[in-house]
Amino acid sequence: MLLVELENKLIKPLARSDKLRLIADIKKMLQQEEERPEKYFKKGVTYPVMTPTITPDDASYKAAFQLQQLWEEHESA
Amino acid sequence: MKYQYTSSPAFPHLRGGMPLTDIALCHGGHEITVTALVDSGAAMSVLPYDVGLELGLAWEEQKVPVDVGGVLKNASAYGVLLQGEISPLPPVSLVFAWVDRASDQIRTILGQMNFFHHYRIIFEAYNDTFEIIFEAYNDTFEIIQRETN
Repeated sequence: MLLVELENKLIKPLARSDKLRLIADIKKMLQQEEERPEKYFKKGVTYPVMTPTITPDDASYKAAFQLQQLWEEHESA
Repeated sequence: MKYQYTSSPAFPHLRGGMPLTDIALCHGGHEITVTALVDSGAAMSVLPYDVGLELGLAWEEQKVPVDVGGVLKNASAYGVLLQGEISPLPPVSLVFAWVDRASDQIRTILGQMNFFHHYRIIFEAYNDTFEIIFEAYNDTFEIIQRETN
């Protein structure tokens, strides 16, 4: 279907609110189509994860608990 | 939305816990819900290898290599784009560094780019809660520049 046909047959008869909704939907569609990973990651840049414990186990809880105990000992001393 | 910090049964007397949240990730008709770490110390979001495979991603087809550092400095990674939804918040486009590390080695991480660009995140460890707020960018915030040498 030609764009002119689409406009005359389907879009023009729509209510103003539907037309505004259509504009918003098309804008969102365009934004999604323009999304690319390379838009975010630049060559030559290192992206670090600085969190010391990212394993999905209790390692970070254990480390935090050890520090909490140290803190509590210091507080009670 | 406010979320409770996640504690561990192994350490019942530990105050607080980890800012973990469930997030539905979608790509090409595949969907998986994972528990992810909301991590302000990560420059980018991180997707474990096996989670990417479950979402239908193919390692050999990736075209955007990403240089990752910090605790993942020896990992290989590619940039991938997914849809993410933390119900009841609306879905957003999220970019991840898909790494060659399995989910038994690393958590799914929601980091500065671009998870923190979609939401206002407030950590309140003293209340054992953190908050994820979805709102349009509000330029009435006062931005305080950190001085660098």
